[in-house]
Amino acid sequence: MENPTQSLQQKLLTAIERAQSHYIDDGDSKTLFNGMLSDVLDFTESEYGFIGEIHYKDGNIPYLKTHAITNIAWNDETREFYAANAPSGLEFYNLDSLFGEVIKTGKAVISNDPSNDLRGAGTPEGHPPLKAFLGAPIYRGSQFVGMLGIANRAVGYDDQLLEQLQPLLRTCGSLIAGYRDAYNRQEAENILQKQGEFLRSVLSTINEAILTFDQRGYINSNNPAAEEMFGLSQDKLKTCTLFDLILDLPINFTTHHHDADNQILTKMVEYTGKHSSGHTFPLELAITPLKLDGHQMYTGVGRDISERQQSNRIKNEFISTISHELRTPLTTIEGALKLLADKKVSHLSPDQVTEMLDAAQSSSERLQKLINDILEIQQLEFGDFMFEPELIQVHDFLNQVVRRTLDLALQKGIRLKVDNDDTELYFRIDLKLLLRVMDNLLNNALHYAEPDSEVTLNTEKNGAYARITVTNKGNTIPEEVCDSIFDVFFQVDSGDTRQPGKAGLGLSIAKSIIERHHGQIYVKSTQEEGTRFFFDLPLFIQERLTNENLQIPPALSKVTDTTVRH
Amino acid sequence: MPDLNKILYVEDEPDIQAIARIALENVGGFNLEVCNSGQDAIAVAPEYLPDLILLDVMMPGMDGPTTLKELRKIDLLKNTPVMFMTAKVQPQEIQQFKSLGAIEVIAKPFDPMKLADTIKKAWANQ
Repeated sequence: MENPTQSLQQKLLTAIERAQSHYIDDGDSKTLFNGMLSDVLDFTESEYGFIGEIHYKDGNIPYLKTHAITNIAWNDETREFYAANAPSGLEFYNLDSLFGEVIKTGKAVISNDPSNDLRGAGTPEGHPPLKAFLGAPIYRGSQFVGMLGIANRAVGYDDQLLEQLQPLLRTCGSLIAGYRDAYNRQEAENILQKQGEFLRSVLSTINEAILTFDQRGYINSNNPAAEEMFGLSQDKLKTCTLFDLILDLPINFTTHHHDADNQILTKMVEYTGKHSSGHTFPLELAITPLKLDGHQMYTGVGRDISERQQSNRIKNEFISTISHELRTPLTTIEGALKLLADKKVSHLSPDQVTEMLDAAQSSSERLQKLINDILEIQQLEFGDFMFEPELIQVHDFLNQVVRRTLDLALQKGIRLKVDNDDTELYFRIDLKLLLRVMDNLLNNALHYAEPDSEVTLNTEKNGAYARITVTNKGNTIPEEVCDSIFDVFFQVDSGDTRQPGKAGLGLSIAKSIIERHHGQIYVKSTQEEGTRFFFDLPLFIQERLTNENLQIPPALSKVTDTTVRH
Repeated sequence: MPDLNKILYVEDEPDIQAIARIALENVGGFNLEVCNSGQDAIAVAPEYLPDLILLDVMMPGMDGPTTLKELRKIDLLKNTPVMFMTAKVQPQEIQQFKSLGAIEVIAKPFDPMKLADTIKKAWANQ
């Protein structure tokens, strides 16, 4: 007959070996602990049990989370609970129990009469009868990591069995700790990876080029913006130094970025960056020191400031132009006043006196108009104006425009030809603003028209839009100028097409007004066809007009869409 | 240095022309020819042969610096002294005009009572 102790030892060793090789083969913890529990139940001839890990909540209150547990569910509720939670581990918090005693003390509990054991608190109703219980703490070295609980050995439990289980418990301790370490490491890796991904995605969306490099400028890493900024792939960048990318980088660039008290390197310095295509650009660079693996490294954040410089240039030129436009009439007014005031200029003839007065008067009007234009463009640009569209027949609108313009055309000796037959078209416009546009276009056309030529004004239906066109023969606007003619800064870049007596704001005001009406304005200019300014404005849908005579229904005529924009 | 007598004045603004005409003829006593544009000046200058050319900078069609370049192509006007008149009077702008060969840059608005003196002084100092 085999020696029961020896047989138990043998089984124990087999169980340990099986568990260890499973662990070594990178097996999952669930299979391992389930197998181990089943082995233990087998050779201790226990009815049910669990292997659990000690966790702590609220700082230091221990609880148990099972790695393996016999299914002892006894009703639907417990069955459901088991099915839902056993795979990921059941958690037990009741410290006033036989297993709780183990968790609290870290010491083994043997109870062969659980129902009368003061350390326990009985079992819930329906729980399979608990006839004997062994709770054994599991240590890894001196660290209390878990417990084994087994129940209902026919002959009860004793210290001898507990002693025999020790090698298995120690193995179990190592495995629990091993899986926990692996889990923690995995968690940490996950967190790091997520942080890394986050950082990478942040860095990839940043428009600034970010580079790390060493003291000699050798590039170590970069973000996608850096690749784009310098036109080099990541691999190419890694073979570069900062000196290849920045033309005027001083040799002592790291100290160049120190501030006065020699402390911080983050001072922004302007350099000239070089793109792989050969073109250069203004680059603003900040350098920050960084210790990486004990090496002194640097992070550089670079920004292409071409656009900022360009917009500064445009602003400066705009101010310069405006100041020129203000100075010109001022020159006249001041000059005329000084000449008239000086008694010594006795040679001034009565005609010259009149001339001076007229010049001062017209300049003062011009100054007034210029200031109004500047204010108007500012209001239109910032939307700070009353917009009051009303329903108007395009035909009527054009007639009004013609009435306003006839005098000027006669004065200039230019014929005004109007093609305005379509009485079906309606649009919703702010009459005052749109008359402003027409005045500007027609004044320009009359101004530039060849002597004795004609200026034409016509309307047509262009899909869902009404198109109004003003054409004159005379000047031709170069194609490259057409692109920027509506630009508020237009005049700046094209000094030689400047209109005498105008600051060139009229067309940009016109554009703002047309766009405010959800329309678009264009210019086409050729030697043969002359210069055509035209714009499209959305037509009012005619079906909405009820009356056959196309009269405006009372409801509509009263509605004035008044929008105050801030 | 010969005396300064004949001035060719190129300016597109009629109002400013009127002021400058009185300032140069009535106050300064110069002999003056006025042109409305750079093109006019190029046509008139070889006939008029001024002692000094007074050029506005911002003009439609052909601006002051371009007009100067064109005038310099005419043999008789290669060495005629030139002064610019401009409202662009930021230091770097003045420097730019001087580098084009102007002996003086006169700021607008100018004082019509002092314009002739300013021109005479610059003429003497060249």
